[in-house]
Amino acid sequence: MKNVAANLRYWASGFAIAGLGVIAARWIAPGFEGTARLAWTIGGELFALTGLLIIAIGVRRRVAAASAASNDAT
Amino acid sequence: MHFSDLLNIFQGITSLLESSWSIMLARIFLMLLGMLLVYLGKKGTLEPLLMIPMGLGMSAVNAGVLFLDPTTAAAVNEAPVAADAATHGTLFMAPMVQNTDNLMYILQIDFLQPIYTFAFSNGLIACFVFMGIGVLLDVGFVLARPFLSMFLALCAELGTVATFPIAVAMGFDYREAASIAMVGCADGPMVLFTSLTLAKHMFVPITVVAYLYLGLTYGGYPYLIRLLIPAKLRAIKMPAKKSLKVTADEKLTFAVVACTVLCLLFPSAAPLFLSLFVGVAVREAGLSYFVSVIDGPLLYGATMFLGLLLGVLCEASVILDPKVLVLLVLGILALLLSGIGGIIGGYLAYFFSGRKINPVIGIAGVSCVPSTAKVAQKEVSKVRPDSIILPEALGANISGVITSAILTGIYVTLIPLLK
Repeated sequence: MKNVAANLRYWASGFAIAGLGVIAARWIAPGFEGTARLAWTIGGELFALTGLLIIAIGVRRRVAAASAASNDAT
Repeated sequence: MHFSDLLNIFQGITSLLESSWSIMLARIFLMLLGMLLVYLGKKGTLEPLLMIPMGLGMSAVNAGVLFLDPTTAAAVNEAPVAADAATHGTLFMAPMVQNTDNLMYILQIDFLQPIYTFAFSNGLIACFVFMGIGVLLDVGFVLARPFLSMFLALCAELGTVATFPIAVAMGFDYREAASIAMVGCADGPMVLFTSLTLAKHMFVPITVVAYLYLGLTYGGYPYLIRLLIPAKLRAIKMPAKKSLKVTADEKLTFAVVACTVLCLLFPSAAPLFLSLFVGVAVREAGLSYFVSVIDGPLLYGATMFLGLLLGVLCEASVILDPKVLVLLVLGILALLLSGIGGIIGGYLAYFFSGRKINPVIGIAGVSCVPSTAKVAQKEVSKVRPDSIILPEALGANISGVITSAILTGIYVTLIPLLK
């Protein structure tokens, strides 16, 4: 798990943002009615998916940096 | 002994002759259609793993109609039946039986009923197929190119989104419209799961139409690519990139995090997310025994019984619903719009990348894994054999599966809230 640990800030921030999105969509949204509920639900879902995207971006950066480092070494 | 007693030996023929004209013609049509599906499956025009059992099931169920004894007839119809009544039925399965006592009786009579009741109608077969898909997927392709993969996958959901309002305008209610629109995601298990959850009364025609058309995407999408993308653009060679190695640990961790977040967001679709990501997790954790079970007996067994059950569900009385004709039109529209949406995404990627990205990879955003990625590579190789777009196409393809699962969750969660 050393690659995950080396990239911890992306994993942690992505997971945290995803968690906030889940809270908005599943906990806060049911407290509203009509359009407000729909807005909180959709907003929360988008926020949560953004968190997953941040994790993917972090992995992408780690892999690109490792690839560049191995190019420099050769 | 009378001649009519002799006729009762061949009840398949007698029941056919005693049916109304519409049922008789529908049964004959479906027997012939089943044979055609077997032929097209063998020839490779349609997916043989599904079409051969489906076609044979379709022919057999429409041929094997007999006169049920009064006890069985009463259990199937869930109402008392006169002792001398001639009720038509089969010994395959009775999908409409709901009452527990009748169901327990039918489970001991109809040979496919246990599989239908305990594995099909609750979505278990769809989840088994999804586990198999998860084991075959390499999410590293998505993690290596997240923006491009997700963008193309979103564009390729055009059919899934746009067909919903069209279906509503054509008279379907929200649940039915969402189930039909899911055909645009081009993923059989998700179509089955959504229609079982939202529109159980229509899941047979929706799923049969979906699987028939999915088999056609391999044959039809190349023409769409050639129509919408000129040869000069199809021949674009993607910039050479060193292969990006995403480690198994990262893929496993991503699978766990994504599964948890998505299940929290869309608990109604949690069985699908779990099935997909348990396959991914098992693969990335290196559990080779589980991998060989899931991508062997589990996946292929589920696929075979799925095809067989779908074929057996195609009884004349089900197919004679006038809504089926509309489904045929909406299904092909959904898949067409998804293909067009994917190609639009490909073009946008081409322009935003400074004309470096081959727009053909857009079609791979349609989540028919790995058919659409293979179609994209095949079309590019025809005009430029040295151009390899498969890694990018697979990234979009796998993203398409995840995006389609998310859309399933959205539909299954939000549609019941709409009034």
